[in-house]
Parts: sequence; C-alpha cells; structure tokens
Amino acid sequence: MTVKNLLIIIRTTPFNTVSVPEALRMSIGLTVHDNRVSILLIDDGVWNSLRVVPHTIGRPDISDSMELFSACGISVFADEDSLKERNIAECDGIIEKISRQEAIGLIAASDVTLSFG
Amino acid sequence: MKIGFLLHKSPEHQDAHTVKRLAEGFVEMGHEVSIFLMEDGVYNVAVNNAPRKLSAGFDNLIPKGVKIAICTYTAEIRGLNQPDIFDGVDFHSQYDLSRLVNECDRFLSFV
Repeated sequence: MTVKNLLIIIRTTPFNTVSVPEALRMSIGLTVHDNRVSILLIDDGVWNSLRVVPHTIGRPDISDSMELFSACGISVFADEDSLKERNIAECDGIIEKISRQEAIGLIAASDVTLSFG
Repeated sequence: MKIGFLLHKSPEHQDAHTVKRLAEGFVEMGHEVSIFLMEDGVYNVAVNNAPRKLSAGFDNLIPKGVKIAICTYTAEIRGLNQPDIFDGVDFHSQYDLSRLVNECDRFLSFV
C-alpha cells in the first residue's frame, strides 16, 4: 500500500455548520491505511485557529479532535495572509503559520484534497 | 481505474446529481466506482416512496455496479438505520473511508 498525502482544507468558521468538527473527526479516521494527513486553515477557516469553546453555545466541540492530532501525526497549518486579513495574531499552539506560497505548495504536493468551504 | 467519490450533500444540491452522473459515466467507460456518503449525503440513499420524490437517482447506480457506502455514524444521528436505506448500500466507518481514499487511483470530494 502506498503512502498518500491527504490535505483537508477548511475555509469555514467554527460555528455555522457541523462541517468543521466533522472535517476534524474525518482527519483522524483518514490517518489509518498509510495516509499522511495535513490540515490547512485558510480564508474564514483561520478562525478555527483560535482557542474556541463551542460547547458553551451548544455546538460540537473541536478541541477533542485537536488534542489527538499530534498523536495521530496530523499537522495543522494556518495561512498567514488569511490571519492578517482578520487581525488574528495568536494561534493555538499546535498550529503552524505558513505563507500563501507555502500553502500553495502544500496543495500541490497532495495526492488528495478535501475542501470544506 | 478505481475512482472514489465522497459526497456530503443531500439530493437538493446539484453536487448530488453531478456525482450520480459522473459515476454513471465512469462505469460506462469501464472504471470501478465507489461512492462514500456522509453527513446529509446519506439522504441520497434513504428510501423515499413519494410520488414526486426529491432524488438524484442513486438507486439506479447499484445495478450498474457502483458500490455505495454510507457513514454509519452520520446516518444514525439523522435517525437513518438499515430499514430506511435501500438495498445494496453498505454501512461503513471512517476506517473504510480511509482505505477507499488510499486504494483509489482518483478520489473526488464533494463536501
């Protein structure tokens, strides 16, 4: 079985739909079968880089999935341009800021992309 | 070639109809096609006997050899269980989706 690079692109805010928590749940599931999974937060998706507590407003929590990411070998990246456009200075610790050029490189290097937007 | 689809949209969305038509086309060309339905995408295989039913026609794909599976978890939280889903559809997990993504030569997502 060959190792595949999978990229989950998240372009939506944390609360509007169940799309983000489901994308994160799926990311963990996808790590089996020799898949190398990365997540790219871009556009409004960078709002997910903040430490949010969705359960306080009755929305599904994303922190449970986030905590499992390092154990599953999932890398999470946030597009710097999108962060700057939204005046977001600080990201959650596990998230790595990357330039737009690096984000494009990440997409180009992927075998499969799943875009939630 | 082995082609996989991931569909999260219900029959009211154009994506569901696009996936159905693409799957049909690929099968007619001799490719092996698998569709994994998640989220509201599971409504595409719900039994619907309404005279003017809202449907993309996924029931027509199974006799043509298209493999269709749904995410058990997302079906169950929508109140859909085995009797609510038409015959020939498999109940699968994220483990199976991961395998499908890994095994396909081309994987197309509509989420």
